[in-house]
This record gives sequence, C-alpha cells and structure tokens, in this order.
Amino acid sequence: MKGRKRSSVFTGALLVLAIAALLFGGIGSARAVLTPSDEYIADIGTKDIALVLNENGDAVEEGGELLSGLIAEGDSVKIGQMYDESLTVKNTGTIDQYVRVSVYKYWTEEGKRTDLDPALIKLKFGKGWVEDKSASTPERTVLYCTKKVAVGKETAPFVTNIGVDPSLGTMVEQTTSEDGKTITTTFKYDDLKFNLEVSVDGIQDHNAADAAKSAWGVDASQFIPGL
Amino acid sequence: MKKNKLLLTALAVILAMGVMVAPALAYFTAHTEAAGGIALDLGHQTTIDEEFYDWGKIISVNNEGPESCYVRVQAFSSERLEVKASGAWTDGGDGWWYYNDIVDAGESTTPLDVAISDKSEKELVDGQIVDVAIVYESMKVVYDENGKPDPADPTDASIWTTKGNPAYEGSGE
Repeated sequence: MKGRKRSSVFTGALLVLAIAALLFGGIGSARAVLTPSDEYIADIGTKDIALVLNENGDAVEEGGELLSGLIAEGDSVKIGQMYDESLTVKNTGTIDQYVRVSVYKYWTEEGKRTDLDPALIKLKFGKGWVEDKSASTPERTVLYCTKKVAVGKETAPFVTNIGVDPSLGTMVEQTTSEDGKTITTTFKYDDLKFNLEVSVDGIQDHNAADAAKSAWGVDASQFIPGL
Repeated sequence: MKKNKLLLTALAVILAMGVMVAPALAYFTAHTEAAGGIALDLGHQTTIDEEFYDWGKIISVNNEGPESCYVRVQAFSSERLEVKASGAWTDGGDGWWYYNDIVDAGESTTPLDVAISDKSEKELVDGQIVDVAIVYESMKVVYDENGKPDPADPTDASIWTTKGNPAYEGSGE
C-alpha cells in the first residue's frame, strides 16, 4: 500500500514536470518566433597551396602544351630570331609560397635525341631568379625565385625569349650530283623538333627552409635571401 | 601478477618505440609542369625558269621551299654575253649577279636577260650550237635576335662562301 502511494507521488511529480516543460517549451518557441535571434556560424577552412604556370599571360594547365602559339600557323621558325616567350608562375593558393623552376630544352625526332646539342636551343632568362649551377646541366636549368610569392601574385618572368642558334644554318652537308649540275644541301637539324619543358615547384612560406630541405632536398637559403 | 608484468613490459616497449620515432613533419607543396616543341624546316628548294628568244634567254629563279632565301646567278658561254637586269639585280663584278632582295617562299626573282651580244649575221654558221650555261645559287636567310636578316646584304660576296656562310644550295644549268 505504502509502495503504491510512493508510486503515485512519483507519477504526479513527473506529470507536473511534463506540464511545466510543455509550458516553458511553448513559451520558448513563441519567443523564438517573435524575436530575431543571432546566428553564430563556425567557419573552419583549410589552407590551400596551389600555383599555375603562365605562358605569355595565359595560364597553362597541368601537363599542358607550351610553344603552341610561338609562330603563326603556316610559318616556320626563323633561324637566329629570339621569339617572345614569357613564362611566369602565379600563386593561386591561399598561402604565400617560395617557388623554383626546372627548365629543360632538348631535341626530338621520333624520340629524344640526346646526341644533339641542347645549347643550340637558346633561352633568355629573366631577372629576379637565381640559378642553382650545381643542379644545372646543358639540358636543364634550375632557377629559384628570390622573393616570396604572395597569394594571388605572379613572379617576374623566368624565361623571356626562345630561339635556335643561327649556327644551325651552317651545319650542312653538301653533295653534288654526278653531272655536277645539282648541289644538294642537307641541314643537320632539319625536321628536328626543339623542345621546352618546365617543371614548377612551390613550398609553403612558413618554416620554408625546413620545407625546402624536406621537399626539394636542398638548402634553399643559399638562393633565397632571408629564407 | 604475472599478467600485470607482461602488460607493463609491453607498454614499456611501445613507449620506447614511440620515443625513437622522429617526429613526422608534413609541408604544403605544389607542383605543375608543361612541355612543348616546334619542328624546324630548314630545307629550301629553288628552281630556275628559262625563256629563250633569238640570241638569249630570260631567266628567273623560283623559291619553292618553305623558307626565304637569297639568290645569285652566273652565266657562261664561249661567246661574249650581255646581261640586262631588270629590277633588283646587282653586278658583283666577280662574274655573279646578286639578287638584292629576299626571295620569300613561293615567290620568284625579277627576270634577268642574258644575251649573246657580239654575234653578227656574218658569223653565223648553219647548225652551230652556242651554249649559254647558267649557274645559280640560293642561300637560306638567317636572322638576328630581333628577326632582321643577318647578313642583311646578299650582294656581299664573302657571305656566299662555305666558310662565310655555307647555308646555301646551288644548282647549275
């Protein structure tokens, strides 16, 4: 009997609590409707590092083609002329970066012709970049941008011009026909393709010296002042 | 008790291994690359046109290749010859007639009139053949960094030697 009484008291208390909860809940809802509430949004973003190679002001997508607009369609390359070829790097990420580029030049026929001289492909390099001579070869030039590239900013051009050496015009082999009437001149580099390849690397500006050592395996402070 | 000892040992080993592992650091890096190339077309091909008349012929040289070229012409004969140039031809004084302008791809020189000058009617022998041989040479135009022809003057005989600039091909007729 005593237990039953206790149970009913408990039930009653619960009922009172439930009603109170309903009442306050109702009032709360009403207040929410009647008064504007402040919104608090937690925006959690991650830092993003990204860069793009620009050729003559146009972005070149990853794995894209270079030199496609160097000469007009139907024209051929003029031996000795240095053509405008402006290559820059733009920071398209959300953190500042340090940048290095590796520029390759080489000859191809059906495949790569390593027996032909890359020095006959002429490049003019721009200011604001320092060459790592220990990493450079006749085929490859490694350049470090001496300044940090801020978000949304673009480097100075690391290549400004490209052409082929005028001495290509003198690298000939001449044969005379049996009747002596025809002299045929064969150019050593005729029909060969000169190629330009660029690889661009960027690292974060925070702890950049360690990042360069880790990612690039070099003490980049020798090329980038204040790194 | 024994079980506890074993657990403690395992824990100690794991902690020791954890201490030995160097802190792994990750850095933000970015990379992109691109490549491309252009084929050279260095060859050039020239042909000669000859139009015969009574005692001479009018010649012109055609550039049939894809590249611009310079041209010079020489005439040989057992008879005395007279060359009448129309347009941009210069007598080099060395037996060669130099075409002053660049002959662009698909274009031709202005005519060069080569005639036998001192053959009188009396000297004519029926059936006699008089040969007038024409030799011509063409040389590929090379440019300086700014895209201007270098050498700019094709009438300079020194550039027509193999040592001076062997980028030429010639054919005789």
